[in-house]
Amino acid sequence: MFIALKNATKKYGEGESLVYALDHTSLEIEKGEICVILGPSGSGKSTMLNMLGGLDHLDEGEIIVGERNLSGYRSKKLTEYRKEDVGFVFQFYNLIPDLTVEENIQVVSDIAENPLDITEVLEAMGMEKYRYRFPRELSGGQQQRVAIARAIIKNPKLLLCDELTGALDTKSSKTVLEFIEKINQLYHTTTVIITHNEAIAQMADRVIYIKDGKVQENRLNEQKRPAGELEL
Amino acid sequence: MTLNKRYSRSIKSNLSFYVSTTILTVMTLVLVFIMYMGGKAIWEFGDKFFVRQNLEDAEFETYLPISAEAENELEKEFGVTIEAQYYNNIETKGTTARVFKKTHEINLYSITEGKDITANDEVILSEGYAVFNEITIGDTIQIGEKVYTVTGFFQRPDYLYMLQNEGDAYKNVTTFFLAYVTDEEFEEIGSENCLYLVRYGEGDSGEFRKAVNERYYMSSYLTAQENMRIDMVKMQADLMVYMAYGLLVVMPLIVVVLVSIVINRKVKSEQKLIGTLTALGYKKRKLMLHYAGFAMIPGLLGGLLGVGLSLVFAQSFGELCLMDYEPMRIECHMNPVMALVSILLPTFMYVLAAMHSVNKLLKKDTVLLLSSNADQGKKSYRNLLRKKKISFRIKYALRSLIGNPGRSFVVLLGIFLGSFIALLGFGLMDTMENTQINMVDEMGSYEYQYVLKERIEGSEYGGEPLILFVMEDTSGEQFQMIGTEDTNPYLDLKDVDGNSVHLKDGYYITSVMAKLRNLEAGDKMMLCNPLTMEETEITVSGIIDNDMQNAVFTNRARVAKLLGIDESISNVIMSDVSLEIPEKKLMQTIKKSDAKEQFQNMTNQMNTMIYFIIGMGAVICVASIYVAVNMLVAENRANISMLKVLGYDDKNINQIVLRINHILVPIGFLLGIPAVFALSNWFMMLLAGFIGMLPKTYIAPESLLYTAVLIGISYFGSLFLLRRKVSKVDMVESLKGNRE
Repeated sequence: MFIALKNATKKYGEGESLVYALDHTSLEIEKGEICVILGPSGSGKSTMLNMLGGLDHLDEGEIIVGERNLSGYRSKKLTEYRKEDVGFVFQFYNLIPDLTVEENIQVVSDIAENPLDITEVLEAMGMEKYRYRFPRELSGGQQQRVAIARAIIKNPKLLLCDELTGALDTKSSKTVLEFIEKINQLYHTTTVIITHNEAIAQMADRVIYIKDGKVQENRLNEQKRPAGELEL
Repeated sequence: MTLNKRYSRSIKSNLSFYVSTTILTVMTLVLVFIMYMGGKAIWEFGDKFFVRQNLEDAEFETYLPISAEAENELEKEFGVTIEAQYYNNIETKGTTARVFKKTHEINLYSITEGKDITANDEVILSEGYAVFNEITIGDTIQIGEKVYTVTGFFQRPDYLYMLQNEGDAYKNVTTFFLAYVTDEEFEEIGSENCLYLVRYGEGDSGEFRKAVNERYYMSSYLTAQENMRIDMVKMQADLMVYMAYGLLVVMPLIVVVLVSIVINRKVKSEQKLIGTLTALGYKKRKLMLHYAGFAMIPGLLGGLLGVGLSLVFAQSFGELCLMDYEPMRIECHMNPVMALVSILLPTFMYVLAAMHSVNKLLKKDTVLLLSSNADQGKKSYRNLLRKKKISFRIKYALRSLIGNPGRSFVVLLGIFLGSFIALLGFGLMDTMENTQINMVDEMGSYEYQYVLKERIEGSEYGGEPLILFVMEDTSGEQFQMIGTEDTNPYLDLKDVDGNSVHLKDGYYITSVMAKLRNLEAGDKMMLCNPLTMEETEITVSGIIDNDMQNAVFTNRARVAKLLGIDESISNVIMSDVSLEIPEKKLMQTIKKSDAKEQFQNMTNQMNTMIYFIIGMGAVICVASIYVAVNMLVAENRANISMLKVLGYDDKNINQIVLRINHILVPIGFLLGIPAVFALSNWFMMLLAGFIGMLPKTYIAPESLLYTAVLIGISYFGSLFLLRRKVSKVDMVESLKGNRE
């Protein structure tokens, strides 16, 4: 077991406006899996990603990632966890606009203990020829590939993707997902993709469906399809 | 408008911005206002007091006495008013009392406390001395052999600055005072001295002076404008008002620009909200008014507080600046129009900045506004170091610096402003101190300068005799005419290029005189003998490097010819040792060390003002730098948040984000230096017009160090405070709005 959520609870608000973003949720994900978490808006998907990524704290329960139990972690340890173990890919790329493609990746490689070779990663992402471009000189799909490159440069144990195709057209989405698949195969990175696009679930090893902060379904995907064949 | 409910909430969440911009506005206004109000109050007091007490236009002495009948005749003939002023200097236990006989038409005294004298054993004293020596009404005081009862204190319009001797540089209220006794008592004491006071009214001063000299032989003539006892008051007021004008040009302008840019950027940071409100149907006018409201807060609040605090402090500040004068009852008040302008102008500028910003944003596509991308201009700066193999941190800092010119400019301006004010204060003090140290060397290597009552022939007392006379130019401004020889061992006269000058070759003016009168070698200049009113045109042969004396140097023969005296006659002796000259032959003995001390005392007058400037400068410095660097975190929230997500700790983030502006600190500081030199030089030229000396602007290395430390503390202190803000940036929330 690589990831385990045990009775994870996260509340927002108080009194009548109290909302359970995660309501005593438990789940498990195996190492090296591509796991797609599905659910409607407000279901708790992003909260779950924030917890897995060490961006926020649980109110109750436990999160275990690899050998780390994040529940007892304070800010400093969470920073260390993010630095060493987690790569993030966001819907809106979140690249630093004043830095080139190469420099955006350097931001992470600079603090990583055993970073991968930038050129190698850029080549893997098909972005080598754009290494001196600035984010706004690239298309959305290209920017997302840079974001993926930035996420994997540290060779993370866990890759977290939050609606990574949400801002892309179908063609670009497919390309980006192919790269995620490629990364998973190349580096055996456990990958969690949060999306409301059910079609993406077809490329997953595991599909988790959540609603109102609770896991409705956690199943292995028996009919896994390559990303290039998805009908998005 | 419901939207306006944001005001109070926004103030709460942006309290530091509103506090610091308000402080900046307040301090700037207070600094300018109290200088201006204090100076104006002194002007007004002087003007009223001088008119009410019939201040003289000039005073003179003659070799032959002018009888009362002759006075009447002169008055009728020239349409002037003359009055003899009899007085006696009485030494008592180390203290000198200058006892006057009452005048009835000119230089009338004003009782400031107590009552006038009515009996022969009563006396009234100059107030400054009484205050300093804690003499109260009813006390007795010994003058000469007699003891008098003090019935009151007074002020004379020609002794508001209490100089014992005309040539003194600093007041004496410790061992010197003025006194009046009854006429009967004065007759008893007997008068030893007499000078004549004159008010010209519509009369012709030139013809009058000529006639007096022809008939009674003038031995001295001093106009009120050249009389330091009178003119120092005007000088003090002028210094304050001109300093206010000088600061007015620099300070509010910079602060208004600084705050306006900050407001402009604040508005831009709300482009998403502006886009949302536009999408919701809000019209441009409503949005502009809404943001105008935000900008109005620091403007109105700062203006009102600035005016209010100025009203509170101007009086005390004005009185503080007048510590060296006879106690003057000044009344500081504010011109309502000026107050209104001070409140409205910053407000107007800030509102204009906000409205302009909103207007500019609203010209952009709403979709761009919604995605916070409306502010993307041409970003060619990004090409900087694009392919260079250096740390991304340096590239990030440089591109942030160049790519945000408004923000960088504000930081630079804040540091410049802080450095400028602090250096101005320190620089003024250094300049005066440096002048005091070097002044004597420029004047000559003598230690004693004896001014004789009578002219002498040869050098019967030893030392180096020379001719020194006060002359006037065509505008009536006085300067020294010095006749000596190249062999004078105490003078090493050199021109501005360092070459020795030869007095036999012609007339040489000092560099301060050349600057004040805008003269160069070869220029013509009209001289006027103030006693005979004879005019002579001279040609300037060269400029002597001497900013300490407003004087013309030439050889004895020329001066003698100008004055119509024999070449062998002298009236001043220079010496490096004390000479045995009978007391009754001496008009004045000037010791170089005393002159130095007096100059030091005179500069102390300015110190109150200077310390005040430094204090205010420190506050303005901290506030402006805080406002400026505060923008760093506000405008880098998304990047800070991203770096946190990527695993950067706060220390690392601080190193990347907060050091962006480091390079601007030395630049802003260095820019402050020439600016201080420019303002100080202008100020010193003004001062030279009053005192005939032109102090060279000088900033001591220690002052540069102190200012650098002050700026460093302000800057790094502000960054230290900002570290808290960096640690508060929320990873989750700020990522939601981050799009390229």
